[in-house]
Amino acid sequence: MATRSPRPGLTSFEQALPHLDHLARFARWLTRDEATADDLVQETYLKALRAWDTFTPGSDCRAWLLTICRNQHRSSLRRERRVESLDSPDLEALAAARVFQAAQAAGVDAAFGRFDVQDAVRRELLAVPEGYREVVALVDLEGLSYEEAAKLLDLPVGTVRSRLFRGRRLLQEGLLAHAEDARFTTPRRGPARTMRRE
Amino acid sequence: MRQLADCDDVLRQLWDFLDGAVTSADRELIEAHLRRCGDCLPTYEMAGEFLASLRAAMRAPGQRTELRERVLAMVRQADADRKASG
Repeated sequence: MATRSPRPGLTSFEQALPHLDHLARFARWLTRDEATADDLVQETYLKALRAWDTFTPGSDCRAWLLTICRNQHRSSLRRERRVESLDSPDLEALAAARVFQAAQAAGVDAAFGRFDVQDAVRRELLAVPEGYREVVALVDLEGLSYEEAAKLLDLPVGTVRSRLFRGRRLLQEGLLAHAEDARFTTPRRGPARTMRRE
Repeated sequence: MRQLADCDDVLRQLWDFLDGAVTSADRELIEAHLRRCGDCLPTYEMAGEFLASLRAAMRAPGQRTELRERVLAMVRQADADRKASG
C-alpha cells in the first residue's frame, strides 16, 4: 500500500530549534542591538516554519536558517547596502601582516592573549561596517568555510575573502589602538619559540 | 613544485593558512618557511592569537533561555493556527 509522506509539522520542525543559539549570536552581530536581534530571530523562525516544506531533509539546517536570518535582516533594512570596492584579498592579508609587525615593534603584541581584551574585541567588532562584519560572523563565529559563506551570501569566494580580511584588519587596527592606549606591553622577545622543528 | 619566493608571498597567505584554506602542498611550503624565518613566524603566531581572541569574544556566554521560550511559544502557536485552519 502506498503511503504519503506526512505533512511537515511541529515535530519535524523542532530539529531547527537547536540552532537557536547560533542564530541569536549571528543576529546580535548583524543588528548590533540585543532587542532587535531577538526580534530578528523570532521572525526567522516564523519564516522558516512557513517555508519548512521547502527545506530538503538531511541538508544543512543551520545554513538554511542563517540564510533566512540574513535575508530577513536585509529586507527589514529596505535598502541595498553597497560595500565599497576592496583591495585584493592577498593585499589585505599583507596589510594585516604589516599591522602585526608594527604592533610587535611597538611592544603591544601580547594584547590578544590577555583576557580583558575580550570586551574591546566585542566593542570594536560592532564598529566594523556590516558588509564586513557579517562575513566575519559567518566565518569566525559560525565556522563556515569561504565556500560555504559564499554560497550563503550568494557572492563569489574572492569577494568573501576580501570582505573577511578587510573586516579582520579593521578590527585588528581598532584593537591595537586600544592596546596602545591601555599600555599593553611585553618584555623584549627572546629566541624564537617552539613552532620550529629541529 | 611551486616555490614561495619570499616573505611577502608567505604573508599574503596569512589568513588562508590560518583558516585552513591552503592546499597541503602550500601548507608544507609555508611551514618550511616559518621554520627558518624569524620575521614571519612571530607574525603568524600573533595572527593566530588574534583569531583565537576574536572567536572567543564572539561567543556570547550561556543560553538565551528567555528568547528560546519566546521562539518555542511562537512556533507552537503558529503550528496550532495552521492545524486549526485545516
